[in-house]
Amino acid sequence: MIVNNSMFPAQFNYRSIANMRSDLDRLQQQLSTGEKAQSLSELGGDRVVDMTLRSRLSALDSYKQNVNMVNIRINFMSTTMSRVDEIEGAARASAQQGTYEINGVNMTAAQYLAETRMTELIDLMNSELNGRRLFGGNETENNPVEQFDAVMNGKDGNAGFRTVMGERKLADAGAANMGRLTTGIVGTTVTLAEDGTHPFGFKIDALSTDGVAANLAGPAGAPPSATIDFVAQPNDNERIILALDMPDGRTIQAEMKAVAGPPTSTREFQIGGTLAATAANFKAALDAKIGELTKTDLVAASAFAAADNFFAANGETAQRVNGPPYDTATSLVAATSADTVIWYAGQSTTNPRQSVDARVDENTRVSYGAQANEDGPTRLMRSLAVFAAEGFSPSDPEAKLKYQSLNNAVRDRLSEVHNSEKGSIEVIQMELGLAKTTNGRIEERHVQQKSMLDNMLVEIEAAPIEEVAMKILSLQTRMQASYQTASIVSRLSLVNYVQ
Amino acid sequence: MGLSVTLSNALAGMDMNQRGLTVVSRNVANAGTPGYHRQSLSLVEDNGVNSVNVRVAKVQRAYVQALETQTHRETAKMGEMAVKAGFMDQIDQLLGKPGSINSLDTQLSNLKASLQSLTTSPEDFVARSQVVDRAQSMAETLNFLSRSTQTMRVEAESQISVSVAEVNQYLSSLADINQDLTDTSRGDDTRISVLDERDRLILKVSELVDVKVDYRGDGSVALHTRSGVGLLDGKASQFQFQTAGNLAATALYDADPSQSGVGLLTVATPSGLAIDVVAHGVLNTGRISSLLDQRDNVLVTLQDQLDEIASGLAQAMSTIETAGTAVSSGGSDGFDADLANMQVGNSFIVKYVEGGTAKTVNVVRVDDASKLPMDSVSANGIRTIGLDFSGGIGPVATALNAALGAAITVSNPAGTTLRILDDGAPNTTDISSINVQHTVTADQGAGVAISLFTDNGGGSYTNSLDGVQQKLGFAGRIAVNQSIVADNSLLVKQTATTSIGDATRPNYLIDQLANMQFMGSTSSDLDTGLFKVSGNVENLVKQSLNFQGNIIASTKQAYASQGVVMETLAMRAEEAYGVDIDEEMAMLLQLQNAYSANARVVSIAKELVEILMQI
Repeated sequence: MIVNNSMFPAQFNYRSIANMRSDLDRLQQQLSTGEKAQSLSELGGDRVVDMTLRSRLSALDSYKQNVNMVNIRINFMSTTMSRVDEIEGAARASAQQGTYEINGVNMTAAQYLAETRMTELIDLMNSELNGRRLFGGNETENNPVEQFDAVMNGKDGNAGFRTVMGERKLADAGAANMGRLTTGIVGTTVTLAEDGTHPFGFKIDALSTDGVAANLAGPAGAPPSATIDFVAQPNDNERIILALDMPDGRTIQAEMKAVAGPPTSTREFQIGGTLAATAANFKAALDAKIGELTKTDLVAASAFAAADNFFAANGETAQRVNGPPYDTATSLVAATSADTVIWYAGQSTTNPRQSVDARVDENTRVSYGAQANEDGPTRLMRSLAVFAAEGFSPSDPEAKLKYQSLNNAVRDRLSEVHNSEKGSIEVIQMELGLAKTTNGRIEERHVQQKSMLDNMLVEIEAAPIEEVAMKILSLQTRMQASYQTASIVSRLSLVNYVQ
Repeated sequence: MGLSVTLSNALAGMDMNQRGLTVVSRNVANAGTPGYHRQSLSLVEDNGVNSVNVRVAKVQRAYVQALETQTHRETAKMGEMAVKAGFMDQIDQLLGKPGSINSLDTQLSNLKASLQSLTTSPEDFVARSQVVDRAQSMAETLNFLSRSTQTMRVEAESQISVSVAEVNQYLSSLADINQDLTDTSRGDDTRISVLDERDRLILKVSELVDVKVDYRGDGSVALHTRSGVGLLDGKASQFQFQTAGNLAATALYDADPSQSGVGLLTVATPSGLAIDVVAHGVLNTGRISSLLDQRDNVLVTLQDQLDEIASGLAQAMSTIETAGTAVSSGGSDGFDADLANMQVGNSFIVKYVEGGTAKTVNVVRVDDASKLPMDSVSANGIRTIGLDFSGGIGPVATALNAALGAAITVSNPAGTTLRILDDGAPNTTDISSINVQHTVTADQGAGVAISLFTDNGGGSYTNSLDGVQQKLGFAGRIAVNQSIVADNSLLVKQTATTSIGDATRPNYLIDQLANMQFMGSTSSDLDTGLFKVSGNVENLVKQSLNFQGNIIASTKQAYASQGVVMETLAMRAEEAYGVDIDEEMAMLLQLQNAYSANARVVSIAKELVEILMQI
C-alpha cells in the first residue's frame, strides 16, 4: 500500500480502479470457464504436473478405446468359437454307433451334412469384424480359409481335396488293390511283404497266433516282410492274427481262423489235407481279407491321411502324393500354391495367440490372435472334409463298411480327450476368455486411475465457484468504495467554492 | 518618503500580483500537461533609494535532481520490461494452455493416441489416416510456432528501426535545446518551458536506451550510455540500424558482420567512431537492448526448443538401433558393428570401462571437413567425437583408435565393419557395448522404422551437422512424408508383402516415442540458466513448455513489480512537480486580495494627492 500524503490521489485511484476492473474481468472469466488459469504462464508451478496428468489421461483414453475394441473382437471370436464347438459336437454325435445304423438314413445324408457343416465352419473361420478377419493371425485383410468349392474341387487349375484324396487312395491301395502288400507261398510257407519302402498302404505291425501250428517270423527287413510257416495242421478255431498299421495312424487286426469245414466268411480259412494245402488256403483267405480291408478300412484311413496331408495344421506343410503314377508312388512331396489349393492363407506362428496383441496399458499387452489352422479347427475341418468328399450308397455293402470305418476314425479324432491339447477349440475358447478377463481387470484399474487423475487435475485447474464468487463479492465492495471515494475527492476542490 | 513612495510600492505590489497571476494561470492551465513542472515566484525586497518595495527575483521551477536520475534509470528498465512482457504475452498466446487444442502437448498426446489405436487396428484405413492426420497437425503446429517465432524476430527488428529513428530524433532535438539553453539572454518564462522540454526528451531517450545524464550549469546536458559511450556532448551521436528484412531460423547474430544473418545496429559518435552495439554490449537496458535480446536470445531459445522437439519426433520414428556382435580375437574381447547404413549426422555409441570408470563415447558421422576436428565432453560426461566417414570405415577406425587411447584397439577387419577390442590380459579396459543408430530413408524394406516426418521437400532428416546444422529451423520445415500421405498403408507394411494386420511397425513407432532418449544440443542463454531439454519426445515437449511458461510468468511478474516502482516514482514526481489546484486557488484568492489592497492603496494615495492639490 502506497501511503501518499499529497492531495492528489485521484489519478492513482483511477489506476487501481482499472486494475480492479481487470481483476473482475478475470474472475468473471474464471467463473464462466470454471478454470483458474487461462494460459500457459498462469498455471504456475503446477504446469508440469498438469501436463503429466493430461498426457496420462490422454493415454488412458486411448487405452480405453483399445480395451473396448479388443473386447468387441474377443466377444465376437468367442461366439464364433462356441458355434465351432457346437459343430464339432454335432459331427461327433453323428458318428456315434447306432445313429447311423437305422435305415441308413444318416449314411445317405452324411455327405450333405458334412458339406453344410464344413461350409459353415469355413464361413465362421472367415468371419470378419469391421473389415478384419479374426482367424488368420495378423493376416486380417483376406479370408484365411479358401471357399468350400475351391477347397474341395480345386481352383484355377490347382488341385482340391478330392483330387489329392483320389491320388492318395490310389497310392494307398496300390495297383493290385492289396494295400501295397504282396503275398506269396513256397511249400508250407506263406510270405506277406510290403511292396516297397514308402509311406503308403498297410504296414505290417505284428503277427501273432493263439496256437502252435504256424511258425511266425517278422515283420523284418526293408521293405518289411513276414512269413507264416505251417509246421503242423492247425486246430479248429486256431487263429492267426495279423496287425496292420493304416496310413492315418490307426491299427487294424485281421483275424484268420482255421476251420475244418468250408469258410463262411473272409475271416476263415479251411484246414487242408496237407500242410501245403492249408498254407495255400490260408494265402487265398489272406489275399481276400487284405483285398476287403483295402476297399473298406484302408480307403477310410487313406481319406484321413489325405486330409492330414491336404489340411496342413499350424507348423505343417501341405503334402500330396509324388506322382503320377500314383498307384506305385513311393513318396510324398510338398504341395505348392502352383499345383494345389492351399486351404489356409493366414499367418502361421508358433504361438497363434501372440499373433495379435493390443496395448491396454504402458506395459500390458493382451494377446488374442487365433488361426483357423490351429489343431482344433483343423481336426474338425479334416473330419468334415473326408465325409464331404465321399458319397455313401446304402445298397453298397462296402460303402457301409467304409462308412463305419470313417465313423470310427471320426469318433477317435473328435473325441473329448483332445480338449486339453494345445490349439484345440476348447483351449482357444479358454485362452480368449483369459484375455478378456485380463482386459476387464485392466479396464477396472483404468477407471479408478482416471477418476483419481481427474480429481487431481480438477484440484489444479478448477476455479471453485464459491471462492470465485466470494472474491467477486469482496472486489465489488472495494470497487464501490473506491468509486464513492473518487467521486467525493473529485468534488472536494476549492474551484467549486471560489466565488 | 512621501506619497510617491506609497504609490510606487503599491504599483510594484500590483505588478508582482500580476506576475503571480500569470504563474498561477499557467500552473492551472498546465495542471494535466505531462512533464510540466510546477512554477512559483520568488520575491525579493527591493531596497530603492527611499523605498523598500517588492520585486520578482525569478520564476522558479520545481525540480529534484535525485528523483530525475532515479526516474531515468527505472524508465529504462520499464522500457525493457514492457518489450519483454509484450513478447512473452505473444508467446503465451502462441503456445496455448496445456490441454488446449493448439498446445504442443495436446498435439503429441493426440498423435500417440492415434498410434495406439493403430496398433489395435492396423488394417483399419480410418485408423491409419488418423495417424497421418494427427502427424500432419503436429507438424503444422510446429511449423506455425516456428513461423510465428521468426515473425516475432522480424517484428523485433522493425521495432528496433522505429526506436532507433526515435532516439536519433530525440538526441538531435536535445542537441538543439542545448544550444538554446546556452543563450543566457532569454527570459525566465521561455527558459523554463525549454527545460521542461529538455526533461521530457531525456525521459523519452531513457526509455529507449539506458542513459546517464550530466547536467551543466547552464542547464544543457551531456548524455552517455551507462556502458560509457557518449551519445550527446555538444553534438549528438547517431544510431544506425540496417534491418535484415525477413529472418529465417538460420539467421543468427554473429560478431563478424559477414557471418551475421541479422540486422546490424551501430552507434556513430560525432567523432566518426562506429561501434557495434551488440558486440560491445553498449546497451544494457531500455527498449532497444531488450528488443535485441528478444531477437538474439529469447526467441532463438524458443526456436531451438521447437527444433529439438521436431528433431526428436523425426528421429524417434526413423531411427533403428543395432547392437554390435561380440567377438574375441587374440585374447581381447569386444564387438563388431556394421556401419554401412550410417548417414551423415547418425552416430554410434561405445560404452566401455577404463580403469574401473564407465565411459561413453558418441561417435557422429560428420563429413564436413570445416566442422572437424570435433571432440568434446558434455556436462553429463558423454564424449562426442565427430569423424569423417566419406573415406570409408578404415580411416574412421584409425582415427577412433587414436582417440580412445592405447588400451582400446579399433580396427576395420573388412568392408564396413568396425571392430573394437579391449586390451586383453592387462585388463585395464572392457568394452561393454556398441550400438549403431541409423536413419531409415526408404519407406519399405529398410527395417521396422519409417521416416514419418521429413525435412523440406521430402528429404530425410538425419540431424546432420554438415554445413548449416540440419536441426536449425527444422521445426519450420518438418512435414509428413508425402508417400505416407499418398499411401497410409506404409505405416503398417514394412515390406511390400507385410500383412496389413501386422502391428509390428505401429508398435515400434509408439515404443520409440516413449523410449528413445534425446539430449538437447542447444541451451538457453545465461540469464535463464543455460537450460537444456532432454529425455524422450514427451519430456522435450513438457520441458520446453514448462521452461517457456516459467519465463513468461516471471517476466509478467517482473513487469508488474516494475510497474509499481514506476507508479511510486510517478507519485513522487506528482508530489514534487505537480500542480495542486487547491493550492493554486488559494494563491489566486491571496493575489486577488493583495491586488485589491494595492489598488486601494493607489486609490487612497490618489485621493490624498487630490486633497493636497485642493489646498
